[in-house]
Amino acid sequence: MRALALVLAAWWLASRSASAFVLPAPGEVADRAWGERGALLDQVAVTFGRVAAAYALACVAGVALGTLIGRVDVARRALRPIVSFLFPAPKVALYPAMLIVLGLGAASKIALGFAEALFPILLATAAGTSRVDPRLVWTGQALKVRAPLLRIVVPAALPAILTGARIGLVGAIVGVFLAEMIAGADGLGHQMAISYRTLDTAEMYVAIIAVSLVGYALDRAFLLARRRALAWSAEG
Amino acid sequence: MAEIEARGVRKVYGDLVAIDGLDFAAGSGELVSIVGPSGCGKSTFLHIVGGFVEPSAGTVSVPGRLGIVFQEPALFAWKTVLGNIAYGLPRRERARAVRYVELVKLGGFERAYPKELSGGMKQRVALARSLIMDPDVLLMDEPFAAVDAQTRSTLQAELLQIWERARMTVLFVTHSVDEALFLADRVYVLSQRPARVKEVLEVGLPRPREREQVLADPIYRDLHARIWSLLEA
Amino acid sequence: MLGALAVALLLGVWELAPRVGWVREQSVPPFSDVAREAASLLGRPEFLSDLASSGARWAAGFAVAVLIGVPLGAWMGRSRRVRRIVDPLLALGYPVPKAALILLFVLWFGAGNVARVGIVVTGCLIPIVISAMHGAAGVAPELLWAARSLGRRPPILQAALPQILSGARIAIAVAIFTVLASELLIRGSGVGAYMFDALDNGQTVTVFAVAAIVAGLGFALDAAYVLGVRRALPWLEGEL
Repeated sequence: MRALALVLAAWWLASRSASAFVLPAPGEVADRAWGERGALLDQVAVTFGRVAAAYALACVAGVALGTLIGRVDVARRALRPIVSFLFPAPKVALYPAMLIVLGLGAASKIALGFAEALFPILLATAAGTSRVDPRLVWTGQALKVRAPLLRIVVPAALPAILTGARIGLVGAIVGVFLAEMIAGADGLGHQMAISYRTLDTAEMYVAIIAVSLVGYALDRAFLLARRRALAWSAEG
Repeated sequence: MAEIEARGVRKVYGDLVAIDGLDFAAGSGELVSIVGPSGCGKSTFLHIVGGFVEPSAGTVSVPGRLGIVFQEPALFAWKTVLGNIAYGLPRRERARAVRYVELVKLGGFERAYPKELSGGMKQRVALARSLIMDPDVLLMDEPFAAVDAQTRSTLQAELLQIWERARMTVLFVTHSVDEALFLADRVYVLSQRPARVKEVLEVGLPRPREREQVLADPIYRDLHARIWSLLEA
Repeated sequence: MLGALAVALLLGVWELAPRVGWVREQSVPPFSDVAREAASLLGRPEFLSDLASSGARWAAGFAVAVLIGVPLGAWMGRSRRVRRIVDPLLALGYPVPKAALILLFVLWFGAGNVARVGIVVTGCLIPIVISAMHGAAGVAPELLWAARSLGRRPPILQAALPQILSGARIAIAVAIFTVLASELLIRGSGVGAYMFDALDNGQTVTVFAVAAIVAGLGFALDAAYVLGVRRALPWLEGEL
């Protein structure tokens, strides 16, 4: 909280000396945001609706594939080269291709968000599930637990999975926002790009702060949920 | 060769009293051991003697050059065995390190990196690294605790051989009563935390010490029993 | 070998799907077309010059980030006071999409290379500073005490090196991503701009080909880094 005050103070001071065009005062940006709060909230909903979709898809795919890679040796050996190749590749390089395949609408934005979020979740899940104490699994077998993957492996790997999921959340936000900036018709990213081109700097700040604030709030919410979910473990 | 003298050493961390007034003395060329239960503060005391940690109260006097060997071999991962041993030497003297590699029986491993060494080997390097500086005082903080029993026996014997020749003052911290009695001239027995000196015992075993002889010696058995009863009290 | 099989399978599907009609050929060109175009691109001077521009921005941004970030992070790691000030600032900056800052940077510094390299530096600084900070803070005190007892200065950077190298590996990928994103946004020159031009001109195969080249480069740089580090620093143990 003190850091926030510090940043605001620094911003305000800097805006006194810089031109209002380059760096408007925090008050001015706040006024602007307030004045259009209805439309702003609409854009927030648009963007984060896509983030939610991208993130949900990435979680499902990431945990499923990650568990597969972590537990099934054949799958790991088969998929490792593909994953290792794609992991360091900049997903945004695939965005124009996504535009071609999925068009300019929400689908391509969700796709980039998905691509950015997938790998941290997948890799963390693969690592976590592969390190589950085998004795836990044997105990489950001895007790004839049904669906051991869901009831034993994933919960045991949960701390690792959630660490990856946190990074994935940021990835989803970055991906969707960037996609909207590069080529879009709506959303906070698009708003930022448009205001850049019309030289409406205050609006640019509104967009970037809006996405950062919501992103920050989501991250905090995630940490809280993580703590509750892991309350039973040493980490929580 | 130097003496170690510590008076009224006290160490407090917030509300926690780790050491509560310790007096300690080691004469020149003596090998003194400090024994105590785990977590009693003996390592902290050694760190204070070495000047790495400030005492909350009390004085410590260690004139002369200090060498130190920790429980975890604090080797520099980016240096070879030779590089580690020569670490404290000025450039022109680096060649001396070769002799010390032989001294700790690591011949052939001069160019090995710490990641290739076993725990025991790493401690030998750590020991050589300190010895090459010709220390007046050698501080050893449970140096053989993380090593298997066989290696530990070997290292203890080698330490004694090296010490008999160099005769620096040695402060050896350990939680093993056997080890303390086998190595030391005198043994300080510490209490549970907060650490206080329960008793100081003279170890009247003749030198040089052979393991079989020592174990059979009635003096050893008596001292062993005495220390155990002190620790259990 | 199973991996090679999987790759072959994937490429096979990619080759067949557009030809057989599972996907529209105008949307997803077959693999062989993309491969051929990629090979041709690597001989085309306009593409190569754009590649060089992007590469230069990537290298400059990465280098500056390392030169500033490593000492800064190490200093932060050793000073609890500094950490208490900077940690919340980093936490605040965490959810800000660095890509969004691209436009802000252009606003502040113009559309030249200062902004383009500056954004790369900003993006790379975070993994580098964080890893240097953790590395420096995590050095075992015994190591520093040992150095002191031997009359040497505390070897903090060397001891933190494994962590720093991990952070640098991440920064390499972040730098590539940031360069590309900035070029897709503000065009001008560079691989991203080239790609977007191809998109505007409906040159689908080119778009896919450039994407493939960039992906390949990202992989190659990462692999080269890991191999290079292992060879240069044979004492390093564990994962990077």
